[in-house]
Amino acid sequence: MNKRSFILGLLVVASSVLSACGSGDNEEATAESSKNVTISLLHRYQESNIGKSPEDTAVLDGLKRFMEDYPNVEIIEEQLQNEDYSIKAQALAAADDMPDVFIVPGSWMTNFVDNEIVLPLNEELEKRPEWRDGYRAGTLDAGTREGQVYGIPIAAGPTHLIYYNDDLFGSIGYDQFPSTWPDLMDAGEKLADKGINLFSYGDKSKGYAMSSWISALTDRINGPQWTESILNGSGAQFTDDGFVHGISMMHELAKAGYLNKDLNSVDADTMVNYYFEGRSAAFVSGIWSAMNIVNNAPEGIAAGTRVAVFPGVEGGLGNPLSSSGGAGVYYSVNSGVEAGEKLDAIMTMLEYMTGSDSAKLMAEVGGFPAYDPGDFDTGKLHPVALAAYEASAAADATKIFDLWFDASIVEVLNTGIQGVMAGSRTPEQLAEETQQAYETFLNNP
Amino acid sequence: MELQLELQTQRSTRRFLPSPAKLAVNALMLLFTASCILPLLWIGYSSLKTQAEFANNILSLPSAPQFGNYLEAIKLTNMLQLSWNSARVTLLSVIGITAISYVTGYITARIDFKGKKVMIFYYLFGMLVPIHALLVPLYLLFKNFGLADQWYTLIIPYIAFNLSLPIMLISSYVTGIPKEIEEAAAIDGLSFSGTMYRIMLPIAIPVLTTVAILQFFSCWNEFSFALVLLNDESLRTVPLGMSYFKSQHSTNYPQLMAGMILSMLPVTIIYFVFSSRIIAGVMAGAVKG
Repeated sequence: MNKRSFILGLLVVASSVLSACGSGDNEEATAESSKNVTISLLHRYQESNIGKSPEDTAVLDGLKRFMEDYPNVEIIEEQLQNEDYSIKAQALAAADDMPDVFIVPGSWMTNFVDNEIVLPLNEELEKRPEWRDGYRAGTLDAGTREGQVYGIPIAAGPTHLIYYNDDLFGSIGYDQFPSTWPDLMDAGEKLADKGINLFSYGDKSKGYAMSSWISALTDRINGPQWTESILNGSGAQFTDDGFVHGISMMHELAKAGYLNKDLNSVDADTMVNYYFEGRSAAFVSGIWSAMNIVNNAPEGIAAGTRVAVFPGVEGGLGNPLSSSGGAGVYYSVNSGVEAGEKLDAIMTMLEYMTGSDSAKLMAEVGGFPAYDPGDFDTGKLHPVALAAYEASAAADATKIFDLWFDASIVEVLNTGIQGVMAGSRTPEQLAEETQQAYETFLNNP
Repeated sequence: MELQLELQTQRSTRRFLPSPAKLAVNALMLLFTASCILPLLWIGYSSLKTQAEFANNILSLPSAPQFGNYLEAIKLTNMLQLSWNSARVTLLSVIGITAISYVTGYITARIDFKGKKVMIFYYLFGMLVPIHALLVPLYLLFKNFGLADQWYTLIIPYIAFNLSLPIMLISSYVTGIPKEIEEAAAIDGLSFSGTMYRIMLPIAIPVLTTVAILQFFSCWNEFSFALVLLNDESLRTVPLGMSYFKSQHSTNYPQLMAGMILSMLPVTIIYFVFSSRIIAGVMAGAVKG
């Protein structure tokens, strides 16, 4: 081929690519004209996770049903994976260009409300009381500011459950999960003798300790009033004995060698894998790990897995059965959306995605919906998923710190706890640093 | 005579028996090599395991190879669409980068003009700016000019952000070519642009190849711009597609690895075909003549 014909060929290819794109746009334009409402939706639920993740399965099923029932509404949907979602949503929020409907993790909520990115939804929910009142107690809370609901919760449930290997605990003489802390430490020692870690632990992503350990442990010792007092600024301090005690308990488990040594450098996936490999007898995680065990654990491990919560602490003020919990992420509406046909369509879509039918489906495939699903078919649930569901429903949900405390305090705790677990900081030092961050926050809220 | 023979045998055995120091250096190099190759092998055979098998023991070999993981990965990610998007964006970007950086590099190497130093500094500065700091302003710019979410969207930042290094490489390469060649061309009556394209371009082919290949990798693997600037799922590129294997709380590792192998294939093939050229090109730009 000579040079001239090569260039000609290149031009032909280029122009055909360009013209193909042009005609695509035209087709879209005609399709748009037959729809009278367009909703843009950005979320972290993915088609590829249907059947693997209860949340993705239920939410996307709801969306599909909505699209079938309302063919006049066009949905411009973008699905992103969890971490990618955070990067993109924060970039879009900074550019003040959020889509009509998007997901807001609880810890972003204050910021989004303060910056008027999200729309208050009370008025709209007022029109749909049946739907609004179907949510489990407390699940709307972290999406509510000064009485106004800014976010519709999707899934709820404990961020603290203990998944343990019954056979391994049986082999050291415990026919159920240790019911006191001395027993737990004793089990840790016996397991260590066999070369097995009591818990596997993975805090690489910073936040695991706070979500699954600190919130629940502190509540065991201090009771929920302490958390309330911190939130109201009415006297409680992070340097209080109870908080230091909770952190010390975690520190002791690490110091005694009952956790994996690489605890700060592995993520939650690896932590669960250590359990699957039999390198640990238990791990602490949220309700979401139940389906991970059902789907991915080796058969013997899945069959031997049971669910528990931390034992009560002697002299503790909290309910020994409680677990940190509530809804973690919310659907919010862009503050630029005006009342009318579009907002109406959005609310209906959210009802489809998070309401009764969707909740039932989520429960049936092993999730814990924020909306109370009522009675549902438990027949298809794996015993581990059922045990996690029952433990979740029975647990008294207490506040998850990272959803409620200001981001500046959360950051100090998330970073500091890594130092404590690695042995480079004492629990007292961490408490002192957190208290300083808290005081700074109180002085300049 | 005997002594000579003995010396000869000594010499020849010495040639085959390296000194302990050499052995140690070689062993170290072998370790380095293994640290690069073993993870690849691990990804390769892990992609053939079932998820439970992977969870049970992440190092063991697959008991029965699961080629279905590859089919699943192709189906799940719509790999053909992703590859086509990546290939289109990457090829056009690489053509743009190579063309622009050749002209700029050539001119900065051969012509003295006011503000040249400022211009070179400006290009160097481009290498220092972290991409993440620019995502938001760039997104706003693209959105307001209607450039976001088009099939050509990514080509613009890919060209702009990948110019610094190629310009430096080409400039230093061209500086190394004797000026007499251009002077001879000028005496024969060739114009400036004629000299640039017809005489110097063929001589600069080695460094241009290097530039093209290096930038091919950089564009093919780029993630952040693709994530923020594109909304339409049909425009997604291969690195974005890898996220299909992750859900919020778990990851399908064997399938992810199958997907990674598939996405690595084109780049690996290109690297093997052109590896000698890459090395030659980098060396060519490194030493001044």
